[in-house]
Amino acid sequence: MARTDDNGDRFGALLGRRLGAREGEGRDDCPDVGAVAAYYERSLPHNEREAIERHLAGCAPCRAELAVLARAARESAAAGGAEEEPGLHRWWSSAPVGWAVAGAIALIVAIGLGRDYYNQEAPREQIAMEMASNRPAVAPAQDALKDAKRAVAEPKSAAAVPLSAARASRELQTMERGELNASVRAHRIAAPPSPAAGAAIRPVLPAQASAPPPPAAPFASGAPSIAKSETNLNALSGRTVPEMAGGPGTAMAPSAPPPAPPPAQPSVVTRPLMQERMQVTGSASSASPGSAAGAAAAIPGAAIGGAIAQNQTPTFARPWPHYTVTSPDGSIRWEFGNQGTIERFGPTGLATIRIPGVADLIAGSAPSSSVCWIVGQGGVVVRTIDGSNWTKVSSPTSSDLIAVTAQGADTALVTARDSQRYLTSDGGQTWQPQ
Amino acid sequence: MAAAETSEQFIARHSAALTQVYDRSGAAVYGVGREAMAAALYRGACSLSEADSTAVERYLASVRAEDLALVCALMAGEAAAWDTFIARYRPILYVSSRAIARDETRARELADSLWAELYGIRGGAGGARRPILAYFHGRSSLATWLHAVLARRHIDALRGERRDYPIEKVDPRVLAVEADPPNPDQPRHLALISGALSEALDALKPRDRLRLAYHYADGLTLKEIGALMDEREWTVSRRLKRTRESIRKRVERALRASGLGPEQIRECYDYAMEGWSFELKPAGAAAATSLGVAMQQKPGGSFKA
Repeated sequence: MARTDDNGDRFGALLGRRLGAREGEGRDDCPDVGAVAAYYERSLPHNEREAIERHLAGCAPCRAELAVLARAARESAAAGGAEEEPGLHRWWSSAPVGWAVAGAIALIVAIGLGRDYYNQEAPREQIAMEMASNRPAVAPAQDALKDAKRAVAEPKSAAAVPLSAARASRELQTMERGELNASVRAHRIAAPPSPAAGAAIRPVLPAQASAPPPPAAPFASGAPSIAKSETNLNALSGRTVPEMAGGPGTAMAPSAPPPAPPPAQPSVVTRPLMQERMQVTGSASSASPGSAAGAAAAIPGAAIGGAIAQNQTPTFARPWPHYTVTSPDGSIRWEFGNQGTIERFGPTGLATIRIPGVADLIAGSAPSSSVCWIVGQGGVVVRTIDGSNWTKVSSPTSSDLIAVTAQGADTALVTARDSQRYLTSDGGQTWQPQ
Repeated sequence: MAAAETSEQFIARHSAALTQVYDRSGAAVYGVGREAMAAALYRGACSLSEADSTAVERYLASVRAEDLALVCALMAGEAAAWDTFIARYRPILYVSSRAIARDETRARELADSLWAELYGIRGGAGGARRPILAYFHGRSSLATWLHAVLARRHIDALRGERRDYPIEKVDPRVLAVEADPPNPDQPRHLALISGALSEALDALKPRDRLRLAYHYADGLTLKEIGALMDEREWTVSRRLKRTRESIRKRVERALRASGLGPEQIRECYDYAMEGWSFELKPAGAAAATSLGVAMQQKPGGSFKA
């Protein structure tokens, strides 16, 4: 502030004293908390806003309250809170915000390109390769993967490669399961054996992988015939852990040789914490009975390569799903999050699916135990109407979708990050802006 | 809302809007019925400061329906709603507490006490006390409302502590001034400048006056004021300067109209600077200081949720 003269200086100090001295003792006439919050969000009508500003001008506690409210909202938003900071409509006046928007646009474009790429019905072995590239370097496992890939890609020369076609395809499945469910298996291994539950949940163990393969069928009929579909993502990339094999969500053709039933093994699935990061450290060495087998099962690729030392401590960067939605009757729970991963916890056990080409999933809504809608980055919308098989439905926008409220298999309301809402009443075929 | 309107009249009058709010709220997901949502919206309408139907319609059009549905489900004890609330808002609560209190112990106390109170209604303990979530009417997001609840509790706690400020700690110079022989012109000059300044401040628009208070009473920076008032820094600076000069001219014009010359006007300022220190009660002064600290605390310490 410009200070023009001596009187000016004193006048400023005088204003401070005068305005500061008007603090009231009681707060009976202060606006209620809801009004203060609405004022902060700039959602009050003009007359009410003016009334609150009139009060604030004479009430130091309310001004302090608003100041700390602003600080809390700002830091909460910076920490990843869901609420928006008001005043963003003037985003162009702030360089950091401008850069952030530019970065977000670049990210959306990148995600869009990625979706186009992945939507080209990526072959199963390509998915396996992508996942293999995300895990720690395990040379023997990669070599085995290459062999398996070669076996699948060149069925006619299957006899020329060391691995039989059936074994190759089985190992592909095992690798994918190992990658997707490593953390779950780590929990299983750490849990005490529970033979009673063994019939329901069977972990993948190296003993199973190294068991004598079943009689090799001709590749044309014995190898997994991947039932690709335009919409059925399970057919494209659906994977289930063995306990779900044959049940809903199973994507393997019925002619695929069933995995050999393992002996009684640890079978209690310890529920992973919601925010848990997948850090498999030491669980291998701490595995109990059948620990060698269990430790190897916790490490992707170990079932094939079998060359990972017991004392090795692999760390996986793939984060664990972050969000949970539970069916109204509580019987089914879906956990989902990064990299399009969805896990279904139900009476029959656990099933995991990773939807290719989908980035982070952000919000879900389950109006029943068989219907669930999940939305996420890049405007992705996926839905299941039988609780297990997921279908990617058309998206109303390319913006990130941050909320969804479903009322059934056909009706859902989604909210984009730009606050735009879209409603569908026909299962996602058409959307109406709200 | 029309005065003395019953909930039945409210529902009959706004049935179409209530249906729209219910449809977009997703309340059915939590098993919240239309009647429960209508009752919550009626409570929200009753809480409006404006009593006309336009304000109610505006409220119904802008209400945070999803958050209100969640709160209705929480108050009904729906397990799925509690799962959602815990997953979505518990982290926010702790981050917010730390941002508000800055002190780890105080932040944890603040968050835990509110969380315990929120969680307490889950058990359905009953009693005459109204659950705190019943005060959420969907006029803002639930997250912002939680921030505001925490902020109010924190400020009230600070003020409560400072009310017990011992009189011995009051600056002895303040008490010593009482013994000085009073200037015969001082009361008149004080009354003149006090009246002129009050009149000038009362003539200001609320927003201009609030800006002055933020700057001169609370000591906030231009940037902080801009963030609170949704204005640019240079806009804040320009308007502060304009408002201050306008008040000053108005005050001095009033003093000159009372027959005071430049030297006497300067004495008025002196007397006011000295005399108005008495108007700051010890408790109020201490509370104002603590609030100022609360508003300007810098990040520090560690806090684990």
